[in-house]
Parts: sequence; C-alpha cells; structure tokens
Amino acid sequence: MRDLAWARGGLGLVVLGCQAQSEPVKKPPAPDMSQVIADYQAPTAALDANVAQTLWDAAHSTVDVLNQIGIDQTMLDAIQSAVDEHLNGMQGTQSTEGDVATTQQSLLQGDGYLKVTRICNGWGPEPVPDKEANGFIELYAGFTETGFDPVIWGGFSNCKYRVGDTLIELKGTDGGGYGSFSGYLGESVPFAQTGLGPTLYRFDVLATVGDQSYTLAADFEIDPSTVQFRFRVHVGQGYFFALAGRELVGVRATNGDFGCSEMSRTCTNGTDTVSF
Amino acid sequence: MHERHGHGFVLSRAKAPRLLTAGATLAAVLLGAQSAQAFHTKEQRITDDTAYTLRKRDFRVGMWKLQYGLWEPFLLGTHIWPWLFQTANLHLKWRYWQNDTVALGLGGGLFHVDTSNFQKVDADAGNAKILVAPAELSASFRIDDRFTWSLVPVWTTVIVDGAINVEAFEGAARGAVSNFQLTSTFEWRVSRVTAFTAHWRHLVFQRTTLSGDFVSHPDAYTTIEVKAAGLTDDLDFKAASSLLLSAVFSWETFNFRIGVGYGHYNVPGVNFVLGEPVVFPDLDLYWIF
Repeated sequence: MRDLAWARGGLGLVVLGCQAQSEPVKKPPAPDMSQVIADYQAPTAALDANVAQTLWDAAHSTVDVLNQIGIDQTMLDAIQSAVDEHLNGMQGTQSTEGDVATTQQSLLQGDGYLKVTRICNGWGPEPVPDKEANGFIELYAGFTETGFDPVIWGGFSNCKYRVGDTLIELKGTDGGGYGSFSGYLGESVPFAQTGLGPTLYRFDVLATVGDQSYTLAADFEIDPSTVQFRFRVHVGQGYFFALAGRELVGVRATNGDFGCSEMSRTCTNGTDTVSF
Repeated sequence: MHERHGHGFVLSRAKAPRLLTAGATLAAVLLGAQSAQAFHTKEQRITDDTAYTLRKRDFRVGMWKLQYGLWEPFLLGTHIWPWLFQTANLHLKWRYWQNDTVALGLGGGLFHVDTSNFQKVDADAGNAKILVAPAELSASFRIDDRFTWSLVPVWTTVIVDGAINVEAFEGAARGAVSNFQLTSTFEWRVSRVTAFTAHWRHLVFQRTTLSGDFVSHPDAYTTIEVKAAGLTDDLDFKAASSLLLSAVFSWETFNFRIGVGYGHYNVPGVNFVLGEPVVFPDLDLYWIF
C-alpha cells in the first residue's frame, strides 16, 4: 500500500504540473453594438416618390462628409496596423519591449487585447509624428486564438490631418478632445481576413472640415472591396439603406434593391423608377 | 523530437545520408566485435528515458552529460555544453520504487538560459531570460531479460522574461513554451554487449504559462501595446512526433550509442520542439566508473 501511495503521489505531481495555467487577461469591455447590428440586418421603410428628396439630401450630406474626412482610409490604416502586428508576431518579428514578455508569437496566439495608437499626420504639407500637436487615434481590439473579437472601438483625440488641401480635425462632439467610435468586424473572422470585409461603424465625432464643423453621430458600413458606404436614411418611423461611393449608387428598401444614377436623378428597381 | 543525445545536431535532410552511412558502417564494425565482457546486466541498465538510475557512487561522464549516483536510487546530473554559454542546468532522477519487473521514477531539472549569451552563434538570439523546468514521471516494465518498455510523460514549464525571436536557434525558439510530451522507449537486448532501442516521443500540447505585455513601434506614427496571456494549444506543431532508432553498446566502463531519428526534434534538457520534421542523429560516448 505504501508503494501504491508513492506511485499516486508521483502521478499527482505530474498532474499538478500539467494544471499550471496562466491568469486570464481582463479585457476592457467592448461597446454594445447589438442594436445597430440588428438594425443593419434589413430595411424597415420603402423607397417611393414621397421620400425621394429625403434620400437625396441625406445621401449627399452623409457621403460628402465621409468622403471629405477620408474616414474609410483612416479606419483601415488603424485596423491594418493591428492585423499586421498580429501577422508579423506570428511570423516571429522581434520588436518588443515591456515588463514581462513571453514570446510575441505565443502571446498573439493566446487571449488578450491590443491597443493601437496612431499619431495623426497633422496639417503641414508633410506628415509629422507629433502627438501633442497633431493628436492621435486610439483603437482597441480584443483577440482570441482564432481571431479578433467582433467589436473594436476607440476614439479620436484632436486628430488633425489633411485630405488634399482640406484641413480636417476629428474630436469629441461635446467640444472635448475625444470623439468615440466602435466597429463591428463580424463574427469569427480569421486574422488574415480582418478588415477585408464590410465593417459596421458607429461614430460620435465632431468633424471639422476646413471652416465647417459637422456632428457625425451616425452609423454606417464600409466595404473596402467596393469602396462603398452603406448607411441608414431615416424616413418617418423607419429607414432604408443607401449605398454610395463618391455618389449615390443604390438603395436597399423594403420594396426591393434599387440601382441609382445621380446623372439621371433616378433610382430603378425593374420597372419601378423613383425620381428625385 | 528527441531528448538525450545529438545535442546541437539538427541536420538538414541533405546532410543526413552521409552521417547515416558513416553511422551504419561504425555500427556494423561494433556489432561484429563482440566483447567478452558485457554490461547490459540486470543491475546496469540504460538510464536515459527510463525509470532506472545509476548505482550508488557511479559516475557517468560523456559527450553530453555528467551524472552521479548520489545513492542507489538517486542520480544528479548536468548537461555539459550549455555551460559554455553560461547556462546553468541541473537534473535529477529518483527511482522511488522497483521490483523484479517494474520500476517507477520521478525526475526533474532546471535550466536558466540567457539568450544574449548565444548571440555569438546566433545574432537573432534576443535578450530573453528563460527558465525551463522539466518534470517527469517514469515507469519501466521489464518484460523479460531481453525486452524492457519504458513510458515517460514529461511536463516542461517554460517562463520567458524579455524578448525572444521565435525564429532563433534554427527555429527551436518557436517551441520555447511550456509543453507536455509523452515518450515511450522499447529496449531489445540482443546480447550482453548490444542493445537496440526504439524511442518515440509525442508532443501532446504546448502552452505558455505567463501573461505578458509588450509594446512595438512598427513606424514613427504607430504604437501597439499588447496585453495577453498565451493559452495556445498545439497550433503550430500538429501531430508533432519523432521516432529514434539506436544501438547501444556497453563494455566494462565504456558505452557507445549511435542511431538516427526522424521527426520534430526535441532540444535535449529544455524540451523545445522544432516546428518542422528533420532527420537527426543520435550519438553518445560515455563512461561509467
């Protein structure tokens, strides 16, 4: 019996060693985007002549602001940094410092989150990495072994940059320095596919474009493969979706999918044409 | 992957045939030179990857290890070459129970690796301090006078402090994470001088054991801070196994081992597993006094 006890003790030691595990990382909670995700599943209003002018006005005001501030490229750059960091880490890039680190490769295959801070380019003719003067963008992204978590988030802190000759600043809608955003990447998107498909954003930002200021408290989807926005146009108690690149190209409503032409100022679904 | 011998020998497939030829020739010579004295005895057994230990006050000195039998069922040892790189290491094994057919042992070890000490041989070695602590439970079953089967599960705890390039050390650093391996060794005693062994090793899973933070600066504008706990199971090395076939010759005090293996090589002592399968040799010369 004594021998058996020794054997059990030995086995116990090995099992104890096998059970040594790391402390889970406490990820900061992501914003709740469940309502806006649900809203983007389907339109709730029809497109007809009564709402044509609303569509025209909304499409132009939203698309103009989004294109002027170059939001698609700004967001993609931040997300791409996170993706690149992960992929580089898996390939063994060594660029680490910190208090206690395990191998970057192993960490990025584990469970945790990363915070990307990008200094904005500034208003000068050449970009300058001056955080104090130019502000910055923050992006938080949680991850597991299989991919990034569905929702990323962050904000713009007095972020100054220029698109062509236009000077842009993104900051908080209350006049403070921090305007927030959150983005829905999709469920179970592998690391390598992150940022390649449509991403649904919710913004609460004050955008200054030249000498004009706009409150961008809106949700929209960016599809990088088509370089198009999809956003809601509210009419009465419901909404339908407008699709736009540089200009309006389509509408998805409860009465069907319309192709739109700004030149002819019409949206057409088969034989059904709406003019605006 | 394989513990024990061939330290530092991780061959490309191109180099392997020459070594195989040389090894086979040498083995043939030795097999033909049967010695009158044989020391594969009931008392003196192969101690690598088994539950057996050296006898009391036996001293083993060889190409790779020094070991000493502190008392009958307890040995203390160290791997020699790591000391050239200021890598302190110690291992011990206690055969805590044995009867005519079964022996049970407990083993453990400790390696303290400062990868910056290896930058002379690998510029990408990084500056990490790695603490490696393998722990094993071993069981050997003597089926009869000719055949012995040993089963050794090994848990290796790896704690890394600092930055390490995962491609360093021919890719071995990629395996520098805690892992659990299962080994099985079958010994066939052909004569009193000659024995053959088949050693199989399988990486059951691997995972890191510490959370960590690091910061990177991909460019002047971007800072990326990561807070994570690696909980990775065996993502990279699916079905990582190795098989090593060896011949072990034993004379009065001199022992010689030669063999060849294929699979995910295991860095001896620290149990880092290579990501790609390779052909690797098994070679050891050692004396037991």
